[in-house]
Amino acid sequence: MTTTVEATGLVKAYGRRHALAGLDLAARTGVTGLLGPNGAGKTTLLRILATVLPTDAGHLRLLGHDPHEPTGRRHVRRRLGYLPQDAGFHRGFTAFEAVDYVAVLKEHTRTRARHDEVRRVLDLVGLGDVATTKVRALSGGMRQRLGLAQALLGSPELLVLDEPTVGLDPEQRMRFRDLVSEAGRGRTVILSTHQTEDVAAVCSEVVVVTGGRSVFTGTPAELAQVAAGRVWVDDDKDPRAVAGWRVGAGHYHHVGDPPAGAELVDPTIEDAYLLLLGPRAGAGMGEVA
Amino acid sequence: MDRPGEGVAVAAADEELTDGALLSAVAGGSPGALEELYRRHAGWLSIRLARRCADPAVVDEVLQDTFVAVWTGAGRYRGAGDAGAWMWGIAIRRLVDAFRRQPPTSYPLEAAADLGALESAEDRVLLGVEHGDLAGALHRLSPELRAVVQATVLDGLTTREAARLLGVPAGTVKTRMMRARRALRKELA
Amino acid sequence: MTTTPWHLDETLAGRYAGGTLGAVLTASVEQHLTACASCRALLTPHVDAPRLDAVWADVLERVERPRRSLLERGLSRSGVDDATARLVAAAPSLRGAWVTGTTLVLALALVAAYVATNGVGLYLALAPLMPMAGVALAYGPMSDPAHEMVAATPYSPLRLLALRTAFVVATTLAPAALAGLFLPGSPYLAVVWLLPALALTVGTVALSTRVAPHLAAAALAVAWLTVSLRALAPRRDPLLATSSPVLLVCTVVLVAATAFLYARRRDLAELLRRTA
Repeated sequence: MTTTVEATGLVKAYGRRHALAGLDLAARTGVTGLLGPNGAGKTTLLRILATVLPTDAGHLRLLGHDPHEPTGRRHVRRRLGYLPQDAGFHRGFTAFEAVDYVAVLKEHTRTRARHDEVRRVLDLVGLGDVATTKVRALSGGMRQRLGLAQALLGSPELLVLDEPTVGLDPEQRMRFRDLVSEAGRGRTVILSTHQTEDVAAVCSEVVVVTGGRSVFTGTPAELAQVAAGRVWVDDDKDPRAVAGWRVGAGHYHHVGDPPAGAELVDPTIEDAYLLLLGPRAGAGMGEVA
Repeated sequence: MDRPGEGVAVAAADEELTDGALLSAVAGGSPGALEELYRRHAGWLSIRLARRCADPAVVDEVLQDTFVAVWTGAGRYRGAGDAGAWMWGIAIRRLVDAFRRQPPTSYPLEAAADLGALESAEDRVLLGVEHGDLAGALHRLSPELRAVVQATVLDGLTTREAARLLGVPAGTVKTRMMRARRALRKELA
Repeated sequence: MTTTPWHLDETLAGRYAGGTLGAVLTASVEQHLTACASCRALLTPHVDAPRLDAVWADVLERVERPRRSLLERGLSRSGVDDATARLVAAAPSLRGAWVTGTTLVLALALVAAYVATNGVGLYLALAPLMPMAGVALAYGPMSDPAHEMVAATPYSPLRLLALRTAFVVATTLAPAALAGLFLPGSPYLAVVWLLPALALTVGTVALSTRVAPHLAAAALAVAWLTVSLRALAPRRDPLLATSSPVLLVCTVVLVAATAFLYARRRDLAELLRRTA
């Protein structure tokens, strides 16, 4: 099981702002989740992994190739599937035509075989019945699935998904997670999210990204353990906690350094995530999923 | 268009779906429903077409045209009678179109004419059960007259369409129909 | 008028399928089939399954690609394979609306050339802008809603660019060239506007490596119009846009832009992909 993605010290700057400030990442077969707040650099990282953006500095190997090299880039793109944030399609195309367009660009030259492949991926995401419907007539959830369908063309070895469940209702999100888990068998999937349930449900590995760096790498269980002994409940809100919020019947759930004699509870991924994000996590963290 | 798009759910339930329901689904744009209709009807339509057209390549082409026409025209069905009859109506007209574009080298009628005499006693009994006197009377018509009756009465074609199907002039179709009617009336009187 | 329900058995089905069932019985069977689903099902095994599957595959193809736009049909008629046609058709400047719009603008400008004083000046100012605008709209984030996904595909970006540009230029040059033939005055006018057109188009592509294509096009359009519209002022030469100084500048721009593009040709497509 070789490493599909090897990245060390990735740097990407926009003017004086560093979107990535020396990020390390290693990913292999299975689903790796990138967890982090907006502006943490997840989208920039994913665009780099999808060969859409070059890095300013750092070492990067995708599927054994160097994406800075034009030939290396082509090799990667042939075995890559990418679902960007706000995936757009020509609104006048039908679902079938929209995916067919991408299939042509993925060098599926033989018409018959290409059309069979388009049908295959549409069936895979449950859009087989709306193949002849125009994109503008599809719901948001369906368009998201259409995006996943085009990413799955050609059964790529590396699948890069940027916030694939954003804007979906809980039922759609569940269905999407099933598709992603299925896709993760025998393939490397890297997805970004700011929803901890996505991580818990599908990821075998999770990387917490904030401020352009990765601050944690490990399994979801290991992530939860980061908050071990640092989660407690109290009847009143404790201002010294890193984050605290109301739960159920008038108690407050806290994350941080517990005072002596506090009632500790088992840590979740969410707790660990908030701890890792640091003090800024406290502000504006009223409701959490 | 607000549809669930749940392809899996449809598949499980369509064992129960009637042809009419499937046609509505096709009108709504479901290729899955069209496929189910194909599985149910392509076989017998293909055979029935083969009884009127000796070239299997043409039969395949007409079958294809038929189902594409079903796809585009499913909205027009409106539950009027049996779906199978409606689809046959489309198929036979597509066959007539194919003959207009490319008249066949031979018409199956000539080949079938001889076989009329080989019906067994068993068949005659069956015929009697199904149609009584009429069957016998039809049987005693000459093959050409019978073919015209089948095309116009049973398949519901116009004189011109029947002429195209049988490879004879329209005037001949008209005269033969008159003769068939006279003969049958005489028989059944 | 049957007393017992009558259905096909295996033998009857076989004889009917094989065509050995006399004419009248055949008619009988066929009438029965139009109303009986179970007897119909009896017949399906008598047809060669691969043959039925092959026909279904063809039906599905036609069902899922029902209408090919006028453009795609025209392209395939001229021998372009449908994969390429699909790529080209995705560019907005090839949509019917765009072509109609350009034709309309040119028609109006042509009318102005006959009717208005110095009207020819208007035509010479507008015609070169059409190919440039078409190219600017043919690629880049503004024109391709799927550009992020497209950026991650292996298809040669240069080839895609060249393809779209070639088709766009062809479709915008054609109406303009045709209209040019009707311009009053010397036949030289029908051709001379090509030089500014090329300068503007290649200049747009070159600038698009630094800024978004629509901004590049806008900037160049403004520059061009500032010069060429002066021809509409009274007592000005209506052929100002094609005067020697202007043509000279256009030549310089064209040469410089081409040289620049040639020098950066390896990275060109990637650069153009990334302006956002």
